[in-house]
Amino acid sequence: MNDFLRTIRLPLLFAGLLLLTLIFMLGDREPAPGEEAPWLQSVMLEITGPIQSLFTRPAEWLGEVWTGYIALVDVNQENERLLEQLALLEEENLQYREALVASGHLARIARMRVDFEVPLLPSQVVGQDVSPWFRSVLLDRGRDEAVRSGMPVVSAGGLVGLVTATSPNASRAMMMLDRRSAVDAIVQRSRARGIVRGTGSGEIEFIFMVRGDDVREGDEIITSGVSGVYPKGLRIGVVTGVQTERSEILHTAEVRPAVDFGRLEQVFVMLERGPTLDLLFGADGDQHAPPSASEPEAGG
Amino acid sequence: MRSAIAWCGLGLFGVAIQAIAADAFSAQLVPDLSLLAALAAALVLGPAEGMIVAFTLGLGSDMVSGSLLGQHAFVRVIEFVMVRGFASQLDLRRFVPQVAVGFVLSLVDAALMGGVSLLFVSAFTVAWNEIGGLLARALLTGAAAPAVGQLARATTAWLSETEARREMRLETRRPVL
Repeated sequence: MNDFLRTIRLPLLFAGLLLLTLIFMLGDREPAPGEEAPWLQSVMLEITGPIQSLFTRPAEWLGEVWTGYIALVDVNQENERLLEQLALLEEENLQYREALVASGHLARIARMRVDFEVPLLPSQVVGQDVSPWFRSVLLDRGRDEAVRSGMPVVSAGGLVGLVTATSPNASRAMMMLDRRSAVDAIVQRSRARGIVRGTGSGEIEFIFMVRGDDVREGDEIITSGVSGVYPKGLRIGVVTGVQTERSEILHTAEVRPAVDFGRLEQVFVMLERGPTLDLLFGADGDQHAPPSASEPEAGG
Repeated sequence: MRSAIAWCGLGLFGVAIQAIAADAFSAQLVPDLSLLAALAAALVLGPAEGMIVAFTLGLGSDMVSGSLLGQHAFVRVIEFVMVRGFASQLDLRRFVPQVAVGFVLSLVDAALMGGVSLLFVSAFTVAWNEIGGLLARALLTGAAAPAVGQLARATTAWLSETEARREMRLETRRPVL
């Protein structure tokens, strides 16, 4: 009997470990609404957050010294150029405001802003994903600061992604570049609707239904707000090229992200979740993987 | 047992280093240290201990990655068994076989990760322009394999030496009569 047990010990261990990983993966893929994130993951996020921060802060400091003091070549010229550009933009902005006031839209927009204004929590990116297959970042704010799974993450440039896991003092956010990410979006100029998907290789693409020439190079892509995962009007990127050979109905446009994901340091967590995510995650609960990771915002 | 715990610690430290390096450069330009630690564990530890170490290292990678919880662990356990298979056919203490196995395992790792993602997340496509990065990572992982193997052997030797010294000290404390 002992010999038999000794013989099957390794195959049993192998099968047991594989079974355990399958249970983990299934549990992580289909979260039950309102449940907390797995305790083990929560503990690891708590540990890795400060450790990664400890290592990344000196690297950031060195980078700041380099860019702030050593690499200040041609800054004067650039400054003059930017000031000129700023003056032009201010003038342009003024003209837009005038046009809006004239059409009576400004008052309505001001009212809407109050209705839709979302509190933003500043947060530092303290670590990147170790695997080249996934695109996520570790943030230094967590459940204690009211960060919950499903909350959008933005930066000064535009949309970054979505919070997917939280611990008391850290959280993980899946970036828009991840191949599991899908965001319902529209073209600002033509209002053509489609889905922005991460390709996984650091790029994003806009897949849309062809209705004439409604997507062109240089078009700005913004979130549509449909399905309530992301608020409407967040900048996603600019179209850099349109591919027509994909199929007759669906075309793909290459999009340059509005956010420089390679230099992501400070981001903001939008402390409000859309109604769809509240239904899926539970109003106060938390989970690891949002369903939007594999579905295009539940179709929106 | 002490070796296994030490390997878990070293491997998880490797994962942390990998995370920091991925932050500074790009994940594709950093050798997969977690995979190499699992490879080394397969060579220097017993089969049961090594398998548990590989599983733990995989879980460690899952914690600092956007993957499903258990995805890396699943892949590492399978890779561990593969390395044991390779070890029975090749002399993995030599430089070239180590590089080759590191290279091949990195590609196998990519294929398994893709397969598991396809099965559980049902959205996993690999773009053509990713192949270059994949090969670069496999080459770097292969190139780093002999160094990790060397470190593994040195650590194991040091641990067994410490263990032997400790046992000798305990032995001298026994009453003579």
